[in-house]
Amino acid sequence: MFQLNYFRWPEKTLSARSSMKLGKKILLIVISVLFVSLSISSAVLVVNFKKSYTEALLTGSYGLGQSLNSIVTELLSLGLPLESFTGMDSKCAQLLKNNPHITYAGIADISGRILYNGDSSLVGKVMTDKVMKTSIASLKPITQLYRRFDGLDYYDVTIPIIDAANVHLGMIRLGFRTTVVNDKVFTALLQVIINFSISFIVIAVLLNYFISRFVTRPVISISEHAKEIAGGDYDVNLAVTTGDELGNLADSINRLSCEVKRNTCDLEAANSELKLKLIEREAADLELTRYREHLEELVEERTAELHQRSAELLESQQALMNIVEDLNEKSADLQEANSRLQEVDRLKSMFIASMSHELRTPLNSIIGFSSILHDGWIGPINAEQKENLAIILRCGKHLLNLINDVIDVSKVEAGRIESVAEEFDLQGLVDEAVSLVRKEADGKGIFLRVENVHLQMRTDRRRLLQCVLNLLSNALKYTESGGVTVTSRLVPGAGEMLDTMELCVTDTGIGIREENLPRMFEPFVRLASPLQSTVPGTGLGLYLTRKLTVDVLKGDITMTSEYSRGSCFTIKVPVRLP
Amino acid sequence: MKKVLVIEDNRDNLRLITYSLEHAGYGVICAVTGEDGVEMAIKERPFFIVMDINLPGIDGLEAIRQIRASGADGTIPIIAITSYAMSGDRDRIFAAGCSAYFEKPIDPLTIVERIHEVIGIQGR
Repeated sequence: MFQLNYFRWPEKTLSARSSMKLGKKILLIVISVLFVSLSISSAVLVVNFKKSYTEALLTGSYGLGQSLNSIVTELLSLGLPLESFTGMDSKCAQLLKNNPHITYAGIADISGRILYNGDSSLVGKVMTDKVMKTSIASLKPITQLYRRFDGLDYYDVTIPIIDAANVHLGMIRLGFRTTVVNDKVFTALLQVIINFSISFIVIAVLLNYFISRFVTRPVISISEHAKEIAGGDYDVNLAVTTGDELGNLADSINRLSCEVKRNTCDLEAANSELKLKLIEREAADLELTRYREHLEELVEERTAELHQRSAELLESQQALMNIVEDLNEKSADLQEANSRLQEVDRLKSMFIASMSHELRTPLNSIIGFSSILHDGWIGPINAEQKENLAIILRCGKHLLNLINDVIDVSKVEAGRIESVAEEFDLQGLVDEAVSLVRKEADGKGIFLRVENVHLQMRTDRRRLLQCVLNLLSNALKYTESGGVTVTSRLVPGAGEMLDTMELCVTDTGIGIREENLPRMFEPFVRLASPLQSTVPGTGLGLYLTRKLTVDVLKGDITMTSEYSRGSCFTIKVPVRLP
Repeated sequence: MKKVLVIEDNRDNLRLITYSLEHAGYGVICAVTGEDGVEMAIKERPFFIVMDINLPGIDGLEAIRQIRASGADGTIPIIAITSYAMSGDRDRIFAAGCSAYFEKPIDPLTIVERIHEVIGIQGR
């Protein structure tokens, strides 16, 4: 599993480039450069040599010509005509003899006729070639390349002869072979090549020695040692002490060798450790594989369970949705039923309200007429008649109270009683209520006491009176001994609370059992008591009183009672109706 | 014998009130419509008038206004009798020029006493 392949040396990389040795390569490069540079410099040298040699020859030729010209000029100044000079031919011949490279020398007149020449056979000839024409035309010394009648090439120098009167009389001409220059140049070139070859060989040999001594051998040594290191022999120590880059390279390789040796040791240690860990890991892998298989089983199991749960949930959801739908339907039905009920309720209230007048009108007549009969206004009546009339009267009044209560309850429940606020003194209200029941209290022989209850109020007097009257007549009904007391007090409001009037009607009557207290303000509740059959009542009095106190007077009613000891009803209403 | 006027369309009630007033020693004249009542009030100038508010033809309030407007006698006490359900009309009743109003049912034994209280006559 683990391969230490980073230790392999890429052997083919270098040999693939070139099979030539490093020393030979350097030698080849140096020699090539040397050869090219020497060749170029030699060529330049030869060309320059040729040019300067030619110029030197020409200058020499001019000098010779000028010397001849000075003789000619001297002779002319003596008054001698140009064509009559003596000894000029010998002069020319002598010049040729002294300067062996000069091939010809002579003097010609302005028409091109040869007057004097080193070769006397040419004297008298007229030259009409192109070079002669140029010579005749020139007033200054000139040089021309001249192919002579013998078919050979010459450098020709022409010096014009001009007398004292500045008349162009003729010219001196002399020439030498172009081959004279070329021969000289060839000789020089040969010398250069010989020198070049000798120095070339010497430089090559020296170079070869030095390269071998300072480059090739150390490199080979380093290479050999590197091979040994690659082969695993790290104890090799390179002894290259050239002190240059190669020396540094050798040092580096020595250090590298040490480092590699140490690293190899470390690596071997690490490797064996790794092998150990590998074994451990394989064991762990095996364990993991086993565990995974188990896990897969577990996951499958759980997935199946989840699917089942999901299906169940979906079912439940569907069921729930059905229920919700059902409920929505039911709700709609209920709303409809509710609105129908409200309508029915309204009709009921209307019916009761309109019935009240119709019921009460005849009842009023029954009560009114029986009361004047009973009082003997119409005529005397006997005791039995009076008793019967009293029964009619009592039942009529009871029926009237019943009807009034029912009407009031239905009005309150329908929300059709609106409060009418007016200013009044509570004392007056209580006195009025007491005066209406005074007769009953006196008849039963019980006391009816009112403590000072002066308080200026602004609320619905009529409804408050009704409430107080109800409580008073209730208290009197169920009290056989002792009496009834009415008290009141002002409870100042705190903060946003309004000032409240508390009015208590306390009796010493039969009281109410504790378990019956919560039912006291419910409609048509009449408790079983020894007095039930004899005490008239509708069962609506307290219910109506509570309704009026809460809904119309915006207050509250509470009660406390002790069985067979008496009761206390308390009305709490705002002093000023909000 | 002082004359008093009762305006009431319900004959039973009229009869009962008449008993009470006659029992107290008044001479009673009656009308069963608002129009008749107004005419009689102006013509007879009764000591006081007891009238039902709920009347056929012109109602009690209109009748009171006409009586007051006639100028015959603006000071005749007028006692209105209202049905139990009309308590909210109290302000309107007084505004029409009524002296007092009693709610039904009428107690024949005490009504005259109450009228006397209102018009300021001590028991006779």
